[in-house]
Amino acid sequence: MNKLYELWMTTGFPELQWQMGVMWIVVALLLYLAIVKGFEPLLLVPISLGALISNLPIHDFIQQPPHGNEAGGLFYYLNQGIVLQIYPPLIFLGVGALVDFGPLIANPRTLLLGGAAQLGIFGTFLIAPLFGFDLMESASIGVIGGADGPTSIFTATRLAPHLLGPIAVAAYSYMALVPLIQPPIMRLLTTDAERKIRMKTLRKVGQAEKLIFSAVVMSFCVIVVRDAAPLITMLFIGNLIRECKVTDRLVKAAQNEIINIVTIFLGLCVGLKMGMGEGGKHLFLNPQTLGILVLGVIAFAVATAGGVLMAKFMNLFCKNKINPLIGSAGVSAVPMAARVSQDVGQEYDPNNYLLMHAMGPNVAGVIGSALAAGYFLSMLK
Amino acid sequence: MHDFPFPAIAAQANVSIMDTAPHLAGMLMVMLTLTILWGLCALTAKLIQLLLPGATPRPAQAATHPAADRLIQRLLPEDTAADITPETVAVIAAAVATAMGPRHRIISIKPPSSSWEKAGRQSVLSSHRIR
Repeated sequence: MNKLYELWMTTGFPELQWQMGVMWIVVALLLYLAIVKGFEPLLLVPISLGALISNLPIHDFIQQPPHGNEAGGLFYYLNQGIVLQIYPPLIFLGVGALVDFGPLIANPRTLLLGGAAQLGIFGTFLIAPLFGFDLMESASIGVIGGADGPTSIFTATRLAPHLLGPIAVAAYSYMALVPLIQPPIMRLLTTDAERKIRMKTLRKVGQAEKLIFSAVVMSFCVIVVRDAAPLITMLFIGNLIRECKVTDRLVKAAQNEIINIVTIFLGLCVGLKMGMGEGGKHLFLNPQTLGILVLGVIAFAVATAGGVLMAKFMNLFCKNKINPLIGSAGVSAVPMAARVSQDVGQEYDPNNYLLMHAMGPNVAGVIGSALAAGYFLSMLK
Repeated sequence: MHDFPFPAIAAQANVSIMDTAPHLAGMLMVMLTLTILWGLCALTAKLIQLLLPGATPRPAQAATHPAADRLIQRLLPEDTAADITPETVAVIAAAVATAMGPRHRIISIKPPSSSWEKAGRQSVLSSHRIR
């Protein structure tokens, strides 16, 4: 009988807790959204699987640090990519290799639209204390409004690591919901005539101009906000190897292998932050998660409104009018937000092609959110 | 301290909006930085035009021929006619004649779609197995 008891105690059953059962349901929901509904499956699937692993009674076997001559658990080592802030900049390397800054260079005033959309970050940061969050937590939650997963993770890791799980889930879930969140706000803030504005065809941008742009913007931004240097330098290194046109293999590696491998590890490790924390407190099942989810959607809405309103404001002075629908692309969910601008624009004028115009504020949003994150890291850490 | 909308957790708050408000300076910093980048972009474009005139791609000069111009005006929507050269129309006409025979008339030409659409179309085409 004693042997049977010992055998029972060696299994994980005695360590099962009710929170784990609830998280299995949450995991099932996330997997449903990812697999059936197609909401950011590349990220939600690894995050869900990481969450499942962290809610099984195997913590000591997979996450324990090395002890003496004994090796640590596999996920302890994978998690170092988040702890040491390696994964988000590597994702930015891939993003830089994928992004064409041509539309932004051809129409640089759209930089302001990308900047105005950061109102979502700062607006949410402003009101987050009402929900009981301190300054550093508020900043981490606000960055969700940048619609930039790696930046959210990068900031949360430094300022509020205990909130990393809910923040990452909120950021990626709302990014997937951009086509649902943005259009009503865009319609509310624009008139029929504004939605039909046709913008001038963008000029072609040469290789030299793109190379100079990347080098100049990278240097200037990291001088202004040094704490954002890991993100911004990797973004533009990725872009420079793309635009120099002589490192095809490196570009392909950054666009595919590197970003894909890092995405798997990043997703799994973020999911691991949705298990039991120190002191028996669950890192995901707590009232703060609800607050983060509410603030996240507010951040997205304010960011969208900020971009649209800035475009309307600029139209008061500009001779070449901007279609305000592209302002919403200032949230940096690349290229989904730009596609939303295109789709909403075509509802009102089927021959109006806004996609390439919207890519300008879209990539400006990436730079803007990295700058905003850098500001918080500089001022609050 | 704060009773909206999560009283339980709001009670733990040690900060208020008065503490976060000064950080709106960060928004100004972002806008200022991006405005300066706008200026730098415009300056770079001007400098490149001055120093490296060959580096900036210019739209191809359309060969002017009254008949070709009339044909283009008729075939293309007004706002895109300037982007399509007579050479392009000639190539399309030759392709149609080769593929379908001489007894076909081009009714209209739509300008090239965006690179996103091209990528989508390429993806659809490449999904078909060609034996």
